[in-house]
Amino acid sequence: MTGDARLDVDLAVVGAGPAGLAAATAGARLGLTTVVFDEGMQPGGRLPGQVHHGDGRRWHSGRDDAERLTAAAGEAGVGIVTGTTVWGLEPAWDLFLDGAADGPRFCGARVVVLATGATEVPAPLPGWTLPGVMTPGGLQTMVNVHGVVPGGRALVAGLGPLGLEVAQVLSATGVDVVGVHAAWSGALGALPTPGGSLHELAHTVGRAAPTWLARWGSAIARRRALSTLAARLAPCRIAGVELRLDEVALELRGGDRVESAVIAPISGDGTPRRDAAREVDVDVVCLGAGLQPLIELTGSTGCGLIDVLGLSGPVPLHGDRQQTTVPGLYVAGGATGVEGSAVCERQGTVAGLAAAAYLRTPGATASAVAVARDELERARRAAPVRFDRHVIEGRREMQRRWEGACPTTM
Amino acid sequence: MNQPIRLAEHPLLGPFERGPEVEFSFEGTPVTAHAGESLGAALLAAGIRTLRVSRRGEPRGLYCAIGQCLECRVVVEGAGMRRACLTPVEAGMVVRRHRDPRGSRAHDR
Repeated sequence: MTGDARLDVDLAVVGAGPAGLAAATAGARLGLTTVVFDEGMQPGGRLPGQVHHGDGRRWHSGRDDAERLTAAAGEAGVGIVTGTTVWGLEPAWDLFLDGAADGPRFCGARVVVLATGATEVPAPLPGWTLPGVMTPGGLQTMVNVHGVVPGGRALVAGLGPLGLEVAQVLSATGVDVVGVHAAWSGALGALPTPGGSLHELAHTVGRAAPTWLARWGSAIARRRALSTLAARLAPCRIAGVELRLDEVALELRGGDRVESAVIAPISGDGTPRRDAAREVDVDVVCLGAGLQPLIELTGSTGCGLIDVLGLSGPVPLHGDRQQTTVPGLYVAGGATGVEGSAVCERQGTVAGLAAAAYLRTPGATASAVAVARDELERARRAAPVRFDRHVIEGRREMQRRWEGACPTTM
Repeated sequence: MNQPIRLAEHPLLGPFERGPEVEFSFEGTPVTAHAGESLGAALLAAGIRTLRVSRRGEPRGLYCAIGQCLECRVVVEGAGMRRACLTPVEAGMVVRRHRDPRGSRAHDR
């Protein structure tokens, strides 16, 4: 899809992750001319970096899901344009693009689905900008997508499902993972984890059955009553990695790259004991505090935004057809609240069908949307990992707020 | 410190399929990479972690590796400022560190 500076389609989708690819496929199957833009080098969003237990003991790569979704989109006639950033969006609808020299610069569309995904929440310890300090998502990409192992001794700072997964993958590739610690942010109750505290983390990770995360989670959960007395927590060693909830990472040090980390035990009053701090040599640090929805492009359209407990940050106010307060603008996936890829994919299908219904496309019936919505709810309840334990209530609250704000909007 | 390594095979996912070897230059030094991998991955595999220098003179490198943080920006001859994590390696590319002018207010610290 090159040559013309301008492209005109029925449906334009931003983001070629599971939500965006599913939305585009649903629209294209109903006959809409459809294009998906993504700034990544390959379609699939974050899927290709993901590794998890599938059925039984076999490891499963998100790469397989990415290939399945990409193939389905291709068969449906979706144009997939990678390496292209959508830097601007104006209603009814013009997309402004930056990509390959011979790629399009503008795209006109009759309806838009934004599936921009999520981004990492930083855990800004002193020294966090040193080369060698990377987010869990960044390390997943380097190790699982590119097969580049960035060093030999790693510290994982910041507690969350992705960090724990990275710890295990690094360990499996032969990296000495010296420990998994919370990243100190000034107060134990405010330790940067996806849910906000160790207590929340125990719930979040504890729902991760049947993966290995469940074992970590249950190990933490058994000690959850002590979560405000982390000083008493015993180290636990699982899958070759030491999980140290009794210590926090205070600082990262180095010259032109990270060389060491300062770790301190937690005292009885919940503050780090700087007098008992130790410095460990590392050349890789995995640092992150979870994920938050990526909403800049959505917000630029003037659509309503709202912060609802359980959705991991401010998101577009949207209804159960994935519609926003701006006519012809639909949202799906991590951009609407952080959930797993199976949920994102089904949200995408709902959004694609609803966008087609907006254009009065034959076949985009209310019942087709309802079926897709039921599948979404089933996937949500069956999700192996919940990034926020309040997500089900959060979705319910979003629908309530939507009905209060936009009672008659389709 | 251990040098970064390229895995022939992922311990959980199996062998990697890589493109043919190509050469590009970074700060005037030749770097061997695989066609199609990101500049960020290729430079990391070559042991190069500092991809830009901030206006305070601080080293910065790959952080998010998914295009969000902009810490990996480099200058590719003929293409301008690019995010190393999102830019595929091509044979013969001439790449330099991005350097914010000292004390400039145009960019972050």
